[in-house]
Amino acid sequence: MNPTLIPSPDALPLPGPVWLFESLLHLTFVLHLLAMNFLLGGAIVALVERLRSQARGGDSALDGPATLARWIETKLPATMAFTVTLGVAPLLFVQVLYGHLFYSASVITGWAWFSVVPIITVTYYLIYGLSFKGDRFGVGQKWMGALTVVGLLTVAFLYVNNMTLGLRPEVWAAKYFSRPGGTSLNVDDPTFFPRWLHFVLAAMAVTGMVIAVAGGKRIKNGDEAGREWVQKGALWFVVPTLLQFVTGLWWLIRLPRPVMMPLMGDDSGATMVFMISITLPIFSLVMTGIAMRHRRPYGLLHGAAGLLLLTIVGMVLTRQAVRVKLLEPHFDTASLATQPAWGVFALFAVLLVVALVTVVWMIVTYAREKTARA
Amino acid sequence: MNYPVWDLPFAHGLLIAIVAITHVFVSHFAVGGGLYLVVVEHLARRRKDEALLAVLQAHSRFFILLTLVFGAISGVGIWFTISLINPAGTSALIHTFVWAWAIEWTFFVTEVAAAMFYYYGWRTLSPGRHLAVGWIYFIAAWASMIVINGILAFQLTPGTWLQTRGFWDGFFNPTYVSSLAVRTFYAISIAGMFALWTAAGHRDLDGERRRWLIRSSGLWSLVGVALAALSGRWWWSTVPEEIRRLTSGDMPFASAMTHWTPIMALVLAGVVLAGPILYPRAVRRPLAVFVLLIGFSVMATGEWTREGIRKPWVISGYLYSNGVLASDVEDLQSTADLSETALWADPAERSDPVAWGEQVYRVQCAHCHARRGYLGLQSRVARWDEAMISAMAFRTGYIRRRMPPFVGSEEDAAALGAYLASLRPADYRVPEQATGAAVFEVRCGSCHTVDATNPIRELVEGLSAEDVLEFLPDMESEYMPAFTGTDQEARLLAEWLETVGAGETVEVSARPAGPSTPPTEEAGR
Repeated sequence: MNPTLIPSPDALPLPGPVWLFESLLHLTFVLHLLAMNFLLGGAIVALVERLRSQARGGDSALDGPATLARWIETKLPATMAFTVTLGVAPLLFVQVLYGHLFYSASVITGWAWFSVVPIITVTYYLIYGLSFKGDRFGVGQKWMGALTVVGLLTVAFLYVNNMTLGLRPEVWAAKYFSRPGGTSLNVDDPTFFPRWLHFVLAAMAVTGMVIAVAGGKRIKNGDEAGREWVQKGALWFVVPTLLQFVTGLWWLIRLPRPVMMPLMGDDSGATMVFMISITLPIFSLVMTGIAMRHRRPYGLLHGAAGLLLLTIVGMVLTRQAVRVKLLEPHFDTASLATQPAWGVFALFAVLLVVALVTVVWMIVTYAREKTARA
Repeated sequence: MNYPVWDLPFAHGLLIAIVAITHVFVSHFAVGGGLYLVVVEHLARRRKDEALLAVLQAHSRFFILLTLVFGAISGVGIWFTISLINPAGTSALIHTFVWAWAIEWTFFVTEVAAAMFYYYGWRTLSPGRHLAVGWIYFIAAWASMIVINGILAFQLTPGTWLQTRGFWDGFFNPTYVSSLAVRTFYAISIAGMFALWTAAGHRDLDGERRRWLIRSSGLWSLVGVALAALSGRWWWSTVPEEIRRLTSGDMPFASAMTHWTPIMALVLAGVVLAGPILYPRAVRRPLAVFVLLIGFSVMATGEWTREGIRKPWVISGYLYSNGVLASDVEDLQSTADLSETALWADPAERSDPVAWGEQVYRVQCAHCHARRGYLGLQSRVARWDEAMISAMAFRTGYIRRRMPPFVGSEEDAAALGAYLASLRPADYRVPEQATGAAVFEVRCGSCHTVDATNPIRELVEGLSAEDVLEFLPDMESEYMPAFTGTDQEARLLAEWLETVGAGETVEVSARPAGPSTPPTEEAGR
């Protein structure tokens, strides 16, 4: 029987209070998820719509599905850029708080974790290839689209692999001592596959919502072609979201009882957040369903998207509650020593505001000048 | 010893080198290239030169495809790699500099957004706005270098941070400003190299404009590398003397690299002067590729030097390369053996010396060394008997090539000796026809030289061979291993040392080549 091995947290104190790092972690993680969802979901939707258009014989013509696919493809490079930049921040903050767990899991699955880097690089170039290629959809592009989806699904798999293993110190010794070369995976984790599926379906649903809202906006601006987008986007939102109830339940029942029960009433705070997060998408679904038949769907879709955003926030908080419970026997962030460096933090806060203002200025300027030129 | 060690079939440093050096080259281009784009765009706008603007637009596409994709992902890749290879070091850096990284992240976000708007804005934004976005890009990119440079320089020279643990003491450390100067100027040089690549490829430009582009690219490279070389000398003077001394031969690879950096910089300056600047008409793509390769080698050797001379530390004076805190060494050495202190050494293997030795190898050596190949231990122990391997393993802190001290019991060192001996071929003994100098190199050369570091001549001055032979059996001490060679080796060594002690000029040959027979699979597990 192997012992449970857990490195001690770093000897240096945290340069800020735990709550601050937790908040930054969750805030930036939500932002990362939004970009990531449109990246992964968008790549899937674009590929499926391309294939659908081709099956109809609309190979080069910009028919409905091809137009939609093209719209997504041209946005994927920027989405990838933001997925990466917004992913760096939670990766930083998670290492501050949970570094000793994260690094151990990384090393045990060394090659899998390292392979994220080359896979993302290749996928990123494929995404630029798709975006630059124009409207023709030949055999080459078909493969590029398919490989992009495979690349992104693999990265999702590898992230789930590392993040779940980090929560299972009890299996580290057995995995590491039998394969010290970093060739282990965590697929024997009972929550692994439901968790992976849950993230992938979420990506498709969010992408569907983005398409529906974009369609709603087109209708609002007097472009009736937006109706097709609303229909399509709504379907891409509704079907995966319905499946989410299945994968979510699957994930939930695979959790150990001491982790599940707090979500089922034992901890009123966690239960409330969890229950709200399950209920909100039901309203989203209903609103989207009505919007599909509505003459002016923009407002409804906007509301549904808002609820979806709240769902994501709620689910991120639920995920944190699960993490805390899973780690309870081993580690509690409250035990970390802190020695806040408020001066440097203040500099960060100021520069963050400067960065946000600058980026918003660029977005507004770009959008305004683009409209002016059009 | 707090973290598991990724057991790779090659030296960890190679993985870091591949990811980091390619990243560093591209990320410096991301800074210098941003300045180049915006400065030349200013010129082109003022001259109303549409052809030049078209060249810049093409260059900016190449620029974002290289920097936003490869540059950004390989940068994150460094993080992945260092956290896999040195979790303790990564953790210490993050705990010290999380706010610096967070600040760098704000610049990173701005930089990435600005690069996208700059590229997609060629046809959309008004000239003034487009230039403004270009300047935003450059300032953000340089600002992120300003931050990361602080962390990199800190690792080599943490300065007063070692006493105060203060953020700013670590950040503005003794080599901070000088290394920022080197990086900034070299970024400008790299911008010229890539501009040359673009300019050389534009066959359709008219002759005069093409020549101007090529010549100005050459000037960027030349001025950049010249200023970087001057700053490099300044940087070298800010590196503490005891670190610089390492490159006078004790660390052969780092020593070679320190010499190669200025040589390659000189070659670079010569080539850009002779090609693009003086004969721009003759410049074609292959020359641009050649210039990029030389430029890359300047960067590669420079970064290798910086990493090399930092050994045996991840953070000088605070954390050793193998993840052991300097402040823990005394406790670890005095308390117990590794089965109690090394979390990730499998206790089930404790009973078998060879198997336990491999665990010891993993937690103590594998951060830097491999079993064989580059930095492989097999070749280092190829001529040693098992007792000597164990004795040397126990005394790594005294080896002149600078290693972290061994922090286990003598039994752990013996197990490590047994394991390393199993990697070694059976006929490890120094050949009978070997010279005394060769025996010296095998038996003493890891710590002693004849006249430089730990000079042996001072120790054997005036001694006869008999004196040496008498001393050999009693030489074991805290820092000296017992002599465990054969009588033949002892005799050869003693006779040779007598000549050294008599003041004769001697030449120490390289260590005799290892035996040619490869180890069996069994031995090399």
